[in-house]
Amino acid sequence: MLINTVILFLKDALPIFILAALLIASLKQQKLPITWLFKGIFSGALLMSLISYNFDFISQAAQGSGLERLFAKMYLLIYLIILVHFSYLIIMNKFLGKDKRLISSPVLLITSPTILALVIGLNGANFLVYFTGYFSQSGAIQPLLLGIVLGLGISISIGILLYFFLIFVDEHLSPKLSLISLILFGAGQLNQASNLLHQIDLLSGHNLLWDSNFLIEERSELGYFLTALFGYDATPTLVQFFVYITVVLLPIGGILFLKKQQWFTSRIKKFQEKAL
Amino acid sequence: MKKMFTLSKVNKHYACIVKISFVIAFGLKSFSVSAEKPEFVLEIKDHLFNPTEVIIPVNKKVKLVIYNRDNTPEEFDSFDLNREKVIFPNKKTTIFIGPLPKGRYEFFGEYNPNSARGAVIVKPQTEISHPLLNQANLNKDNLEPASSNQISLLKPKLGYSEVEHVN
Repeated sequence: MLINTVILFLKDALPIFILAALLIASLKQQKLPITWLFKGIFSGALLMSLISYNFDFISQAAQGSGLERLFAKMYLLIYLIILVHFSYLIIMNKFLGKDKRLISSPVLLITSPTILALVIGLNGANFLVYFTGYFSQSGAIQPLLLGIVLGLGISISIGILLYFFLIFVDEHLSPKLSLISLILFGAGQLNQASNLLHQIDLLSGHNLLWDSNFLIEERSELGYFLTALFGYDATPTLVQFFVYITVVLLPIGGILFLKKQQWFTSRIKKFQEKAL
Repeated sequence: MKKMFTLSKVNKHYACIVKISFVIAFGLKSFSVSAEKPEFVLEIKDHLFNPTEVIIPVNKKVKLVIYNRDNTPEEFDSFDLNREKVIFPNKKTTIFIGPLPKGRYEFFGEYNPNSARGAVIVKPQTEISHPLLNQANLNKDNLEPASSNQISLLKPKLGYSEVEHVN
């Protein structure tokens, strides 16, 4: 039970710590009060308890597909908010240059904790069902708690390592790596949503495109990490592949397209002049 | 005049985005097929899957109904099938799998991975000898024999008919 608890905790907690590292790294240059992190954790814990408490009811709703429908919508919401967060930071960084006074704006103070809260709520609820379900079993409490402590230690370590790696790359190689990683994380979340929609037959086309398990096994440690980081899937379907590529390229292409638009750049400059 | 031109350009782009969104939305909706799928039943008891092997036809989407008869929750998980679903104690759940090529696709109970293990075996229809008599293939669509004699012949072989009346 100890090893199983560690694996389950890692699987559910790793995306949370990876997201926290990505968000903190993407906001490092900005003058944003760190309170957003605590707000996100607190709201996430509330959401997690709420979903977990109603898990049974939700899973039986909509002819047994309630949970998939709710989770798919939440994954979509996460991606959309990440998109706002990403676009805002890119645009503001581009047009404000080194003057970051505007960056500590209400937009980021809303998007950052909301993304974190949604990811904690989604992933935490699954683990809470396991924890509460096996908590009352005799002799289970010790391996459960020990498993959580070990899993927490590993997750925190991975989160810290990822944060320092992103900071290093942002400062020395490419200043946009943490933002692009954030978009990939969002695309990974949408990939989870398409899996859920396949599962309840709301999305068809299950023909597998390839099987890369021989390269990186999805159930391996690296597989778990890559799944949490950018939604690695060893056996994607055509629909999943199409959705993934679209949601990654759309924001990047959109930003490149907007940057070339005269009306857009002049509007941003006017906005900047007024604000400063 | 310049402002009007800018606005019309914005509207043009906006209209383009809306059109693309509609195409994507309706395109995805058209992927969804609501036709009846063959149904297979799986049971979790004492942290074990029963049957341990589910034989399904090749290239066909099927409905898998999973009953959890334990007093603890269980999570049906399969990396091969890309499926994951929590089943509460004494509840049932439904997932769709396939269409799949011929092969063996393993699944396990994530909360008890050492004991709860099984596999979906995908075979061509011709290789599935007697789908009606195969315990692994409780196909509800095929469980309506023409005569009552057939029912009496089939009943002792089908160990999962009682599953239908739970929940």
